[in-house]
Amino acid sequence: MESKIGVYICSGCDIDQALDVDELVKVAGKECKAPVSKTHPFLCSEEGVQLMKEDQKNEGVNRFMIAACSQRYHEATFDMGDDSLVVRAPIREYVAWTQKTKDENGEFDEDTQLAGEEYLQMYYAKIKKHGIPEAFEQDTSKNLLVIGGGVSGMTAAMEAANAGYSVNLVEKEDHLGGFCLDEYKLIPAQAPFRDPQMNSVSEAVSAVASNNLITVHASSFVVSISGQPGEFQVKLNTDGGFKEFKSGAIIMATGSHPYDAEKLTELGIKYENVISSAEFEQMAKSGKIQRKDGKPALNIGFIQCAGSRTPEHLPYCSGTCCMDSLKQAAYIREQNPDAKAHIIYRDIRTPGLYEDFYRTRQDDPGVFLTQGDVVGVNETENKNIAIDVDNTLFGEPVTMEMDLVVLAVGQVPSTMKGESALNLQYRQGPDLPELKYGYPDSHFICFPYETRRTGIYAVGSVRQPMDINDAKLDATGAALKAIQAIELTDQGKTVHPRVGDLTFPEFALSRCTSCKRCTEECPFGVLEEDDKGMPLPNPARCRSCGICMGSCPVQIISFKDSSPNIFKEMMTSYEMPDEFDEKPRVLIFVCENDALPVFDMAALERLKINTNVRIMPMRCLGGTNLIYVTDALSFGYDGIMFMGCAFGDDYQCHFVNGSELANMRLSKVQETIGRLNLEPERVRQYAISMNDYEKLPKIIDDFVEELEDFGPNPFKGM
Amino acid sequence: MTGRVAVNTDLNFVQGLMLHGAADLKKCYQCSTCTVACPLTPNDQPFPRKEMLWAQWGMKDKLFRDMDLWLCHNCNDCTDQCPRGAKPGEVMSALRNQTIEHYSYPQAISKAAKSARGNVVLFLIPMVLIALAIAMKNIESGFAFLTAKPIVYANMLPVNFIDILFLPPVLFAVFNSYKAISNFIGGLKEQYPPTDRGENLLPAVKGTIQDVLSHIEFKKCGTNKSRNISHRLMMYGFIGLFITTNAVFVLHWLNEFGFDVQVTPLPFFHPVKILGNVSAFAAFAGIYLIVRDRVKNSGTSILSLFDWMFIGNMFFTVVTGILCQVFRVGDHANLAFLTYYIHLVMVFYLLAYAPQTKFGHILYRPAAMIYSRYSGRNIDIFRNL
Repeated sequence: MESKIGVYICSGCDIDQALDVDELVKVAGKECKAPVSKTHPFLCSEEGVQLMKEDQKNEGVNRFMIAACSQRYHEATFDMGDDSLVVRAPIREYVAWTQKTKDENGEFDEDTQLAGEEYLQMYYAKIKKHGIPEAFEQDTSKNLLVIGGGVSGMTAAMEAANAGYSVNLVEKEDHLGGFCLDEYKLIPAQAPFRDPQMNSVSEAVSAVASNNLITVHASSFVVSISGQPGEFQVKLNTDGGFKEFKSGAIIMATGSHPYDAEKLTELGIKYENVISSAEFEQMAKSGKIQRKDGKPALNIGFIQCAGSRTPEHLPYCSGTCCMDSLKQAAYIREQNPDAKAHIIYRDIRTPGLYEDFYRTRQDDPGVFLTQGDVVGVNETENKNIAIDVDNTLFGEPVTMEMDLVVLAVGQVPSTMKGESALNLQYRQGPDLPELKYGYPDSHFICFPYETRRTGIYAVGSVRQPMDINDAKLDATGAALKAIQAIELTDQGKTVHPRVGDLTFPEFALSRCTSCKRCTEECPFGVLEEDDKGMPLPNPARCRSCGICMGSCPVQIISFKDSSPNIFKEMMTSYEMPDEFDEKPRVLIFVCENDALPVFDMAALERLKINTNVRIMPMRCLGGTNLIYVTDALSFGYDGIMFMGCAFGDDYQCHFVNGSELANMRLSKVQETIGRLNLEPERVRQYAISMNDYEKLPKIIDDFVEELEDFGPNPFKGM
Repeated sequence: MTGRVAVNTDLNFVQGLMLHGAADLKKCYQCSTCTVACPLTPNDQPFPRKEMLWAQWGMKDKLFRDMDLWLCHNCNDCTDQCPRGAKPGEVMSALRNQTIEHYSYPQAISKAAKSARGNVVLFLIPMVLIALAIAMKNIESGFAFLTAKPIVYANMLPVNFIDILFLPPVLFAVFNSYKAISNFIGGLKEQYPPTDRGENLLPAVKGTIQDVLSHIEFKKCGTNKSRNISHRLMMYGFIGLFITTNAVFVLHWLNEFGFDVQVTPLPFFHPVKILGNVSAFAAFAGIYLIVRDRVKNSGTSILSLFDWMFIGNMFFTVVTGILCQVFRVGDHANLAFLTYYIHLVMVFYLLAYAPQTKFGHILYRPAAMIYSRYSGRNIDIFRNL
């Protein structure tokens, strides 16, 4: 279908106070040669949209360039239907609200007007090159695979089944239930949160077993998983035999195991009356809380954080052992009113309503609590255990003689067992990439269930240390995420976080050099390899971040709306002011997820941004291709800023490591810039987040000021 | 394990405390708001936070040797500000009672004073003894004192009889007090060895007497400010009555030995009589205010029987003392003699069981206050005012 572009310039929201809109309409017609160019005082009103709809009907306009507010507003209002493209040129945020407005005589500012005109030309260049997005097609299975039949896995399976999806539930043991099945009692899950509650896991097991939509594969493990979301090919080993089926999405709920208490030699595990919390649970379950020699244990000590929060063992908090020990203290008091529980903690972590559970134990005269650092555990002559504690609440070092000592050990994710639960047939390896300590990587704070393998969701204590109640919530959330993945994949759209995006990377393979940089750098394991070592995309695994596009040294990867070519067209679309104009030009590449909202926020606050900068949003800084730098510098831009999120241990990137990759690539380009006889300082990356919006004008001003020392880019006008 | 304090938790002790006035003890989570709120604590190792922890863990040895229990004057500023409602002020009070019981000799009396049944026994002893004495004296005359005019209490029980009857329990109490207090001070010395910051004994005693008489500690209190008045009235009243009683004792024996002095009943304008009456009314006003405040605060302040027995004993001693005079002057013979009998029983209970009941605080508290000056613990609270 022939494309026809219409330019629609809004003059509302004070845009007309800074820009001569009629002049812009002329520029659209004269410079851009847009077949249709119009202005409206209130484009997002019914009337304004109607204006465009009529042009769509009568004039055949099918590409709408809307020069108005930021793309983050009115997405639905400006939806012109499936057959039409919409590109937003945010002159409100980039120009009207952040540049000089007209003076008291009604004269428009020259630089402001120029900015408006240049942005218009930049976005017109983009809409000209914009391809038509298309959904991918595949035969989607709406079945869910849940690996692990513990509380998390069973909950996820039940939730998915309740939503009408069929589930294959795989459990390596011969029965469902997992770790919690053997617990004596459980920590409370409902008001009044005061006492342990009866273990109800076995009831959950029978509910799962009798559900028609859930197929349980006991004594089974996954031999291999290949394919992509919507069409994972799953191969199981069940009691030695093989089964194969297709699944749309996968929930990995393989749980955790207690830390090996035998390693806690410094806490006296070798003594017969020092046991782990897991052993104590079984002892309480049997109703005989006693010492090895059969004598009743009346003085029982709990050492909290045993092997947790220490660099020698597990550096992290177990998340559960405070509640577990308080629960076990309740067992002691309930089974023998003369027995006493002594809990030596580093901090009591009983968040939320668990505080009531803690208080109930605290109110019990037979439960004794003190903060302290255990510095020694020794056996006395009568096989009692003396615990030496420093930094106690008592204000002096103390020693306590106990009949029995319980070490409250932490959780280790099942991924640390050394065998793969997924056995992914991915080029990038059989498992989920991990962040730390065996826990899978995701955007931990914003997207907890996500992993770096699209369509595979880690849940429960394999995802992070957590208790049974958290695991149930977690499983419910993950089940919904898995269903969302199946449905979006079925529609051929991108899943989280660019939900519903229809653009996917395209590879001009005829020019591919098989360098494998894209397959290596893709954070989500999208790309397999063909026989020649060239990338073989799996679009359903893709999150459309554009990192592959940035990685490619020969620029063969592109999206319909974003490519090295489109960027080049945009940045060279207007006439670069020459070196005598004293109008330097600085290009700012801005991450849409973290940095673009900062600009919008600054605009909302009417902060004034340097008039010489031109902003180019991108999906992720990870899409930074070095060609952008050379293109921009050779066109005469005086400097380039890259603004994205912070990287490192507490990374903020929506796509895990985009800003880090950009940083790495830019470090390499500095050399090239030097060879061009340009100052490497002309190109710089900035980590920026929403709360930096007030600093934004100064950051930019400082950079532009620094550039003045270097003088204008000598490539200007060449 | 040198340098380490052995912690031995005592469940019975904790449960006992909770039963006798410190029911909310376990709610404490060691935030230390109490020590900040306290107007009386020294800056170094302040109370009552550490006492709360020791109490929760049942660390008796620490508590019984703790002079800070007695530097506390039950202002209840801590209880007022405690975010968990653990009532540290009440806990301190309960701990003082436990300390009295711990050091008391014989301990059975202390234990009895805690329970209703025990108190029946404690009261039956003077009731029977005094009744027997009255019977012995008056059985021949057919209890003629009841009808004789004017009413003379000495007719029922001559002063000689009373002195003979009361001297042994008083000596008993003095002996027991000595035993308890010397053990108590021994304990204090272990926990708080004297430092070179301390005062000499004599200035320490002098300073303490001044502090007690001036009620300087009570004046610092916030929440229980009114006790500055009530306790002061009560204390001065009792000192006055103590002097009165001794004066009457001296007058009586001077008379016995042939000196020409007035004996009871004294005329109203007699200096001893005036002192007695003024003191009695001061004591009454004091005990009335104390009872009123206690009843008013019964929501926040849970008193054990041990406390109520003491307050009740004081109240009825004063009230019966005053009523004796009222009925005597009003010429209601039966009422007068009955009231006098009750008064004697009350005084007996007060004196004989002093070191084992809460009245014992008049021994423990000054002892601890003197020792705190002597050991140098008080340095920053008394001198930097």
